[in-house]
Parts: sequence; structure tokens; C-alpha cells
Amino acid sequence: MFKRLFGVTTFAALAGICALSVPGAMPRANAAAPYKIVLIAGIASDAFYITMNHGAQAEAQKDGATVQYSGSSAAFSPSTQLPFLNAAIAQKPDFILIAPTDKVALQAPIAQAVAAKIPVILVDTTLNDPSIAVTTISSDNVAGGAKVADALADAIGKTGKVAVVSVSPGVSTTDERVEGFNKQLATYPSVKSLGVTFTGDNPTRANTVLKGLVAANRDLAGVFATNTQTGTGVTAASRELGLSGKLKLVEFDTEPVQVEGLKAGTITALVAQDPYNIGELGVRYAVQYLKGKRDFDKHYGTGEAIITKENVDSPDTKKYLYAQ
Amino acid sequence: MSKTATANPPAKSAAPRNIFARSTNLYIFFVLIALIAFFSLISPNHAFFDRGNFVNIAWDTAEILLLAIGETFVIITAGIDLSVGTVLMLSGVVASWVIAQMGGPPALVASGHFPNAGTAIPLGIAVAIVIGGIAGLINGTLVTRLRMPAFIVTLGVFSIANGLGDLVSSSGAAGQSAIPPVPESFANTLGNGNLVFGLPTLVVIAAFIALVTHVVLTRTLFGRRTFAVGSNPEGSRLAGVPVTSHLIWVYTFAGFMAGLAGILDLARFHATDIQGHSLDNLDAIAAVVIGGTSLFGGTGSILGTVIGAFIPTVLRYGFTIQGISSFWQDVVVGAIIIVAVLFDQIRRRRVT
Repeated sequence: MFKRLFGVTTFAALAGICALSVPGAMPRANAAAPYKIVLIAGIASDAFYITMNHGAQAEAQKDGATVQYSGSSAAFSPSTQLPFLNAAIAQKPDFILIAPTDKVALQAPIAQAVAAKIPVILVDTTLNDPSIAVTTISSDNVAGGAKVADALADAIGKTGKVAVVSVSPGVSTTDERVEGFNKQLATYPSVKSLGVTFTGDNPTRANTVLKGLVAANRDLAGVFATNTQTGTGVTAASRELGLSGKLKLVEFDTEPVQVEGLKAGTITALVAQDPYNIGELGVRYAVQYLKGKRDFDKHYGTGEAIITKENVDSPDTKKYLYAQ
Repeated sequence: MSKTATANPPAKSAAPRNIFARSTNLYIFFVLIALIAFFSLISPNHAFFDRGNFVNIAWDTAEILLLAIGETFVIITAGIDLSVGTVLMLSGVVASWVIAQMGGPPALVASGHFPNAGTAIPLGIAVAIVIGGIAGLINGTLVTRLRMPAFIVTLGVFSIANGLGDLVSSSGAAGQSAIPPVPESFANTLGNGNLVFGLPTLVVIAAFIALVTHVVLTRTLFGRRTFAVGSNPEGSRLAGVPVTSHLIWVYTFAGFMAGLAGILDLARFHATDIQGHSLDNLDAIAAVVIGGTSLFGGTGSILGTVIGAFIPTVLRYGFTIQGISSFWQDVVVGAIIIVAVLFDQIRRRRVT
């Protein structure tokens, strides 16, 4: 009798422990407990994602959620991002926001999260088949690239040679920026593009490349740098060549060092995305989903802005400048 | 060049190695001259053969050269330092943080005004160099006192410095910039300034340090001990060389050079890039190896390292001016590294 009672209690206790340790498997008992959201960045140390995190944290405070920010600090690559995704799945959070570092390689791992009953929203970058996610939120990089083409063509008086300095082929965001740029640039018949040079995420190499391009093309009129790293390199090169303001630079992103270059006149214009808004929307939609909403659009776009010396200090522009 | 071996009692068969070391330097020097001549001839309008172009090449080489000079001493002792690139990054990030904190009220600093720049900048420079030195001291102490493999120790410090740099750079409150760009006065003198003969400050500093370290390596007790420790640590110990403290000094010096490179990189680019330096260690090691310094220790020269540091930059400029894909440059640099090590192997086989 005693033995049997012991057995039953043990069983009950075990069942209780199981129930406790797998909260995701049970319906949420206490609605007041904050939703736990994990935000996995492309590169956690990058100002773009840090700004996105700031937006996510601010929204989480309003919505009664907590956001855990994670991701590799070293590289933008699937192999460095996967451990963070796997760790997140193991934690069984209520929701995952992720910026996939590769549209193919991350497809199956993210599907695993969905299979484990953790809903996902894709932020900034996307997947080949984004339908497994609740929705996708990003800036329109193609439109941003087109805006660069217009700004650069205007700056050089719609005639002359321009070059593109980009990171590496296969990165969806920078590839789309170049795509939009090339398409729009084709509408300016007197502007000749020297094509794209890839320098990796390495300012020193971007610096070298721009100096080489100028040595080979003394009449180079304008340059499009597709992100912060390439931008930092070409800005330094332009300064060092004594071409500040003469060689027109238009760059993506708005890190402090780029804003400084803009104010100093070395950079003609910056195209800003709105990572803060991406973070805010990601958390807002995640919480809405967890509260039962299901009718989301396939994609939500956040705006991008052209920032010049004239509007850089205006209050409307402020939110587009990345924190670091 | 390397007069070293003559004053190097513990080394085995010093004389022939000396000759071969000299010949490797010559080989690689001819490769460099041939590359410059080749690109000068084929470039459109001979755009490559231009004073401005050569100054730019020197400018872009200088930073890696500083790392490579420290690395040369380490590799001559048969060690390795994988941490130099991220130590450079950490030094630069902390220096810019210090300059921002000490530069004046946060609101002014955020808008690019540094009323206290006069004290903030020297302090930032000192902090960068001290951080580099401390990282090197840690490397050297762990390698010698705890007898750990240099590869592992410096890989650990590589990762630690990377993480700490990220922590400092992302330490700002939401919506606030933890690290604004450096003061103009600092950037325009140290980063973008011309010191003498219209040469960039960075180039002059690197050339001066190359000269001094060449003399130290070839004409001083410190240099002779570096070779001795690398070619025969036990023999050196028996001959009365303080091997442990010497190695600690060598690693500390490499870290010190990384700190110096960090502050110069900060001045040049106005902010330290977090991601851009993770491969600097391999670039520095490549320069040392191309320059004929043996990874087995005991041989090497600063002159070789200078040439070895120039070759990748010359290729990069040459290819860019020709409009050849930048990826080919990586392929060619890789092939040159392999050939350089092959020469080292052949040389060693002949000597032993």
C-alpha cells in the first residue's frame, strides 16, 4: 500500500516536473507573464542590428514582452549564425525574430523552429521560401539602390564615370542595392558605370580599391559604396587623395563615422534604412500573433531616406541615424 | 641584412643559413620589383607608375607592416601570434571610447566638438598602446610560464579581444552613440597628415619603426637572443640567455605594435571598424612568411617582412587598375605564400 502510494506520488511529481520544464508544450497558464522573444541578428556587433535591437526593446516594454538579443559578433555567415538559432530553439521562447544570413542555408533550420511550434518573423534579410514565417519586415533595398543612382547622377551633373564598391557577391541586401542602382542608372545615358568591385567587409581593402580605380580612371566622378565598411574605406581614400567633395560619394547606412563624413563634405549623400522601425514592428507583430491575430501581410516595408548635409540635423532625420 | 648568425653561438651551422636567408630576401625583392615593373608597363597610360600611386601603396601597407614587424620577432622565436588583428581592434575601440569620454561634455562630443582634446588624445594614444602591451604580456606569460602552445594562447586572446571590443563598442544606451568619430585635429594630423617629404604620417612612422627594429634585430643583444631562442631554446638557456623573460618581451612587443597600429587605424578611418580586422593576423603572418622568415624559428629579417608586406598591396593596386576581379588577388597572394614556404623547406633540407 505504502509502496504503491509512493509510486503514484513519484509519478505525479515527475509529471509535474515535465509539465514545468516544457512550458511550450502547454498552453500559457498565466497570461500576465511576459512573452519571451529572441532576436537573432546577422552580426550582433553591427550598428544596424544594434539599432534594430533598440527598437525591439522599446516596443517590448510597451507590449509586455522581453527581447533577448543574440547573434555572432564575428561574421555574417550561416555557420556562425546557426548555433545561435539552435540555442534559441532549445530555449523554447514564445517567438523568434531572425535576420537570415543566407536565403538557402537558413531555410531548413528556421523550418525546424517552426516545427517546434516557435513562430518566426524574418527581419531585414529573407529566405527563398519565406512562407514558413509569419511575415517578413525589411527595407526595400532595390528602391534604396535606385535612390542612390538618382542622388549620384544628380551630384555629378548627370554625366561621367561612376563605380560601385560592394561587400561580397551573394549577400541579399547589398546585391539588391546594386540591382536597383544599375537599373535606375541605365536611365541616365551619359553616366557610365565601371561596374562593381567587391572588397569584403574590410575598409582597408575598400580604400585600396578606390585609390586603384582613381589611378586607372582620373575622370572618375562618383562612387556608390553599398554599406558601412565599404563606405568607411572609400571615404578615407577620398580624403587621402585630396578629392573630398570633388569625387561624389553616395553610401548606404548611417553610422556615426559616415554622418561625420557627410557633415565634413566628403560624402554627398547617405541612404538610411530604418532598422529601429524594423525592430519595433517585429516585436509588435510577434505580440499580436501570440495574442491570436493571424491575418498578416506577406511583407511589411519600412522606408528608406536620402540624407544630405541639408537635412542631417532635422528632427525627422534623427531616427534614421544608427546608434553604435 | 642578417649579420645575426655570426654572433649566435648556440645556433647550428650558422654560416650557410645566413647566406640562404640573404638569397631568399633577394628572390622576394626581385619578385616585388618584377611585379611593379609589370604593372607599370601594362597599366593604361602607365597609371601604375606614378608617385601618388606609390605613396598610396605605401600608405595601405603601413598598417599591416606594423603588425608584421611585431609578428616577425615572434615567429623568429618559433612562436606565433594570432591575436594581433583583434588586439588592434580592441585598442582602437577603447582609445576612441576614452577620447570621447575625456573629450568634453557628451552633448558637445556627439556633435564633433572636443574641448578637452588636448588631454583626451594623448590619453587615448597611451591607452591604446598600453592595452596592446598588456595583451602581449598575457600572451607571453601564458606561453612561457604556463608552457602553453602559442597557437592556442593567442587564439584565445584573439577571441577575448574581439568580444571585449564588441562589448565596449555596443555599450551605449539606446539611441545614443557610445563612440562618436574621433576629433578632426587627431584625424588630420596622425591619420591624414603629411609629416615629411609629403609622405603620410603613417608611412613615416612605419618606415622609422622598420628601420629601428631592423637595427635591433641585427645589431643588438636583444636581436641575437631572439634568433638564439628561436633556433635552439635549450642551448640558449644553457648559454645563459634568459629565455622566459626574453619571450615575454617579444610577445609584449608584438602586442605593443598592435596597439600602435590600432591608434593609427583609428586616426585614419575616424572610427575603428569592428568586423574589418578579423583577418589582419593572417595578413601579417603572410607578410612575414613571404618575406622569408621561417615558421620553424631561427631565421628571418625585417627587410624581408617589409617586402613581404608590400607584395599583396602591389597586387591589389595592380589588379584594381587593370580592372581584374579582386578575388584573383587573393588567389595569387595564396600561391605566393605557398611558394615562399616551399623555398623555406628546400632551404632547411639543404642546411640539415
